[in-house]
Amino acid sequence: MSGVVFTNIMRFIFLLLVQILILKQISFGLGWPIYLNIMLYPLFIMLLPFRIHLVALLPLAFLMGLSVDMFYDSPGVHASASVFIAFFRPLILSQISPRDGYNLSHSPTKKRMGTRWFLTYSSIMMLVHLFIYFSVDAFTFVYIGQILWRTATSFVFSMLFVIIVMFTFNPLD
Amino acid sequence: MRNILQLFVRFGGLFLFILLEGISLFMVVQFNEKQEQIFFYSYNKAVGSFNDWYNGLMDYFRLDKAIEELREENAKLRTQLEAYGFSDEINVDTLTFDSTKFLYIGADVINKTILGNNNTLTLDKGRTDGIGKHMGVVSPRGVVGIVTNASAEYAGVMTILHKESRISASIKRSGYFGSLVWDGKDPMRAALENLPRHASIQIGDTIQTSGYSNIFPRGIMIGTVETFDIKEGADNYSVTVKLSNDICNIQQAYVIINRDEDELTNLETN
Repeated sequence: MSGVVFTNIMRFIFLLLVQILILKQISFGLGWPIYLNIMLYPLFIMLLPFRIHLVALLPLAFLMGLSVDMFYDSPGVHASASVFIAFFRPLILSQISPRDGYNLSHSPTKKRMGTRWFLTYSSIMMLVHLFIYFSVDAFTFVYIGQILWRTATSFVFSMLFVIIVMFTFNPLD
Repeated sequence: MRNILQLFVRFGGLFLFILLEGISLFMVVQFNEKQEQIFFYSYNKAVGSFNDWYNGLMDYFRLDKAIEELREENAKLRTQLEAYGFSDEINVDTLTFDSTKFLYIGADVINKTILGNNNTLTLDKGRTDGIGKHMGVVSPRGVVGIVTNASAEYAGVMTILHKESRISASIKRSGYFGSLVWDGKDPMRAALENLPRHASIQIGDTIQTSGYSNIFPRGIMIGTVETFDIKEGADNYSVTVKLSNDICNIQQAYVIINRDEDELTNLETN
């Protein structure tokens, strides 16, 4: 039990640091022709244990989003997207549940659930997260084309980083 | 208490989601300039269109009052029109600026008896509005009746559908005149009496007020001639007049005040 909590605290700090120290610089610092906003921190929300209750999951997601917001200087934008995917995580999990269900003491990792399942899960979560993020960022659906384009481009690169991290560390829980 | 706890266990996630999402979006709007501008632009637009809708709705409920005001206005205009030759008499008295002889006062019909031989109306204007006995009452579609009594706030009207009612009426085309009376049968038909034998009359002739009674100005519509005949040896025609005004469903009326009435009465009785 305490092991899971410790792991997740460390994961929180690690992902936050990677996000604000490395990925933020890549996103904004290189003057790339396409608008990129690479996001790795949603991985924290994805990897919380199956059994976590929404009442705990939502504040954690809010905290993560708000922490990123502090450094992106965009109060509330990341937080609202994070809270959103946290709320729909149980629904998404139930939609892609394997035939014999989940072991509630596990976490939804690549090692536990398999590469294929994990890619499906993380893709859905990331897509929803990015879509909500860019929607709140634009704050209007007048530019829905731009929102979708940014979601698509950022999705490709964000997933690249998710895969790199998962294959490098390959955590059990 | 237990129920509240159960409710929270069941819907706590949803509550929390709404709460945290609300806080996030509040912060988005509060601390991000671009989103703030978009939010207030949309907010003002939404509030504006809501107000438009609400005012439209309220306008509908204020229609009664609007109608009342329009009628007052109309009464005023008709009064002025009277001064500018509403009747086709030549206005000889051109030196008097205020040559309006007839004033029109708009009123609501608040009660009516339309059953027996003697039909009356009650109007919601009375002596305080200048209404008194023996004043004519008309509606936009024609003659209604004559005020028989007036209290401070209300006036009783004897309609033309009344046994006692006699209104001086003339044929518009030829100018011959008689008295309009009602036989108590058909509320859409009255009789024109005392029309002399030599008068020129046709079916379809317009019957209007004659202007000889000091009550009504000349030329207010009463109805049209439906049938007429004259008995062998009789002096007068018996004429059936189809009334232009349906007294049964009248809702609003104008009372006509003849400002020269006292003067004329004095002149004619002395």
